[in-house]
Amino acid sequence: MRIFPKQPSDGDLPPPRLITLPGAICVFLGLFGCLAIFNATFHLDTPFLFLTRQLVWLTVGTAVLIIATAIPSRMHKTLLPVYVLLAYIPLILVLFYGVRINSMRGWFAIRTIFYQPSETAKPIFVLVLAWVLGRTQAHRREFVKGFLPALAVLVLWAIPIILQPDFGSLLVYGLTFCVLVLCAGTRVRHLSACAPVLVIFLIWVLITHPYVAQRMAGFFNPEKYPDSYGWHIIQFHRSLASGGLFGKSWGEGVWSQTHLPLGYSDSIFATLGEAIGFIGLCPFVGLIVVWTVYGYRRTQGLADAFAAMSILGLTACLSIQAFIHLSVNLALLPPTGITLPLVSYGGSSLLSAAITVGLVESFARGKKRFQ
Amino acid sequence: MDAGDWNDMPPAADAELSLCRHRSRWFVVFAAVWALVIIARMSQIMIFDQEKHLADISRESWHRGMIPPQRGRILDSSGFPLAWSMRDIQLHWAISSEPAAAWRAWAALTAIPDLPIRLTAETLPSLFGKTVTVIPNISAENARVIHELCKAEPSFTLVSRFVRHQAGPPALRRLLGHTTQRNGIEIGLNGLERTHDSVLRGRPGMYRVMLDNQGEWIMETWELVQDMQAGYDVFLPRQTTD
Repeated sequence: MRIFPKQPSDGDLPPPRLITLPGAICVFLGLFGCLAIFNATFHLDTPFLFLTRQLVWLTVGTAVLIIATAIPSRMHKTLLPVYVLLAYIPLILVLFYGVRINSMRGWFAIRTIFYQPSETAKPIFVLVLAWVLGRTQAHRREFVKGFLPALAVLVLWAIPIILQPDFGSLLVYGLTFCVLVLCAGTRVRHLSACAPVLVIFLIWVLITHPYVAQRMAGFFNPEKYPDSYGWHIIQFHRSLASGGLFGKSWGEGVWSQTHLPLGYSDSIFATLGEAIGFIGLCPFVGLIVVWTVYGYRRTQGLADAFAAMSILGLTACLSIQAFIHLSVNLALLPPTGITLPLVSYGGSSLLSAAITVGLVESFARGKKRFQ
Repeated sequence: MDAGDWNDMPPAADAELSLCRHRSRWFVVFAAVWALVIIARMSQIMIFDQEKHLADISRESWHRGMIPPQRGRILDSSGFPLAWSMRDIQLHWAISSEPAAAWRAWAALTAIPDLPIRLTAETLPSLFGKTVTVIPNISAENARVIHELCKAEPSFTLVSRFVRHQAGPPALRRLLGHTTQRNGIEIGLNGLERTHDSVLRGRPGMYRVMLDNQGEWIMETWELVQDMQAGYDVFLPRQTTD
């Protein structure tokens, strides 16, 4: 089985397939995620509720993945303004018409269906950023003509997310931005010029959102706040330790089911850790690295800078989100609400990951500069 | 702006992409390093520090409890029981001092049909803020129903304990003596109950169970640490009729 495809000859575009190997892995991961969600929720009064909902979302996500893969990259580029409208308008509307969950106004609720626009806006943000960086490629070494337009894109997309506020998603957007502008050739000093603004922003966040400071305090010293800010981190440790080297098998992980908050979404890696152990978790980490290498290899030789940057940005976006989820669950980063793409419960997150993989596969079929 | 403008992306020259490639390679390296850090952290928590975390779990979340032993019987020489213990399940109610909460709990209790409740609605207001035994001698069938009530209304508690019964005339009862409950174990206070206490008492069992974040038992985790050993029977050398 070839993970890194052989480069096609110059000018020969491979015919579109319904589903590619990464797409199939994506669907398989989604199914595995359903199993993991059932493992985390089967003890509840409605044990099949989360599972059936996720299966429905997975079906929709698979359809979206196939469509996004089948559409030619040139058409994606043509449709970009439509994508932007579809992604950005809900980001604004959710501030007024969204429901507030965990002190964050980030979801539309239609009966029992919840939709989080900031998730599905991620791949579109990457496309816009790649488009701007492609257009300003000639000025990539300049601050005003090269860096500022890209920064403007970040600011425009970050404002509604800050107002929700969803700092976990903001972190994914920010890091994806850094990776993409640096890989596009922006000077490091231009990026570091933003540091003072970032510091001021962080101070503002700490002042206006006291829970962020409390989470930080709990992160640095969880034993001091075992019943409040440090609770989540302590439970991460214990769930993972309870799994040990080989895990406790499916359904046997009592600790994560009874003590770990959001064991089916934001804490699913720790829940899985208790079920499948260290040995079972290692392939997940490996898969993220393989995905990153795959994205990098796909950018090689592409004639279109927009396509190359899009692939790199989309790959980075998914990898960064997965790495942040893992790092939070391992208490390497302070607790924040980030899902594990394709595995965690949540339709918006699953759709976002499906769109991302589909777009990568579509852009990777683009014209090559050399064999 | 028409579609032609959007698609009119300048093709990247080799020189420009070389820097992009160089930095994107660094991104891949960064991802690999991040993955290694994650693996290292996983091994620290799940393998090297596992014992420490498991000890914390055991210390903080495993509840250990005692299973009281059934006290042995005192029998006469013909095997007629003079003193014996029987398990008695009672429903205790810590009545709230707030009338609304107390009446709500009362409504939940009286919603269960055919329960031999000792209280009446008329006497309830005088008991606000007190703990009372609402139903004694609960049968196993009723205990299952009432257990659900206790889960819904935490002010109700099912209490299970042994109660000592005696037979015979008052003089014989004085000879047999009395028992009392200390830490859930029946202990002989005086008379024959005290004389033969070490034989009658038995040995308590031990269990452990994990508590969830609300302090409730996780029933799947209940396990017996030490089996309970009931007390031995004591036969008196005489018949009761003597």
